[in-house]
Amino acid sequence: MKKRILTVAALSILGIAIAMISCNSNKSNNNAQQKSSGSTSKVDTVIISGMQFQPAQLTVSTGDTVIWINKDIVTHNVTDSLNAWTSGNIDIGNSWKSAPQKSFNYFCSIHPTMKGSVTVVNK
Amino acid sequence: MKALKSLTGWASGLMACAVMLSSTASAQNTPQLTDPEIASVAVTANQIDVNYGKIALRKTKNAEARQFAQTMINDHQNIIKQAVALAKKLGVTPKTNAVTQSLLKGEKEETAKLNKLKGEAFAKAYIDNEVAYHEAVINSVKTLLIPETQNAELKDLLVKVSPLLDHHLEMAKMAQAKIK
Repeated sequence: MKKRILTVAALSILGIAIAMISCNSNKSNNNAQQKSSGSTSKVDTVIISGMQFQPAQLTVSTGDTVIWINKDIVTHNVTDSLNAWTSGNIDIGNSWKSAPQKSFNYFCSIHPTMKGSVTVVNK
Repeated sequence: MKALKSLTGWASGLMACAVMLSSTASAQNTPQLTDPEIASVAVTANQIDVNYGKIALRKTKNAEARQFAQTMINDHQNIIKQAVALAKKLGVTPKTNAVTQSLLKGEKEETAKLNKLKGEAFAKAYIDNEVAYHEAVINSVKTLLIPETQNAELKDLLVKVSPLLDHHLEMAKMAQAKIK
């Protein structure tokens, strides 16, 4: 009898653990892909580190969001290569996001030697 | 030797000092600079470029030189802030040494030279010095400071500063090509 109770308890714990893992997994997926007006959008990240945009070349789909996170040791920005727009200063540890509608080349206007591009493709 | 002669003022002093200390260190196989001394060199080198930038903002209207100077002030002040915070965290008090003194001597000479110039002559001298300065500092950071630093966090900061200095040099050369 005692053995049966222990077995049931063990199975229950296992069940709860599986449910929790599944739940966390869904949460992760939700972070990367957000349902928006019936279509799935994705969040892409560009890390600014070592005086580089990483990745320097990024391809996204229309509706996706791109986040630039400054993990470098100085302030940077993301500026359209034709100077049509700029993120403004992104201080150390801060980020800036955009949902680009079309492809563009960009650079850091503080450090013009830093360059990158985002290519937007239709879903 | 030709390369040394081509460098101006403090830059040549720093280079000579770095080469001297490097070869001595190599010969004796022991670090010639302690971490407190390296912290002092790092903070001083950054502060000197902030000071040059401030002189440039005061003396020139040249847009290229002004933009470069403002970036140098902002970036090097950021590095100083991080170096000081790290030194505080590690309980390290920056200690003046031969390299620091060489840097300060060079700064005094270069400042006197820059203060005598005006207009485009100043802008050109400022940016020429920035090219020489960054070349000398990059050499010292890579061949002297990083190899001799014992503390991992201090070494990591110097390693992270390296690409920034490389970009500064590239930017200085770009500005130099436009200021004639």
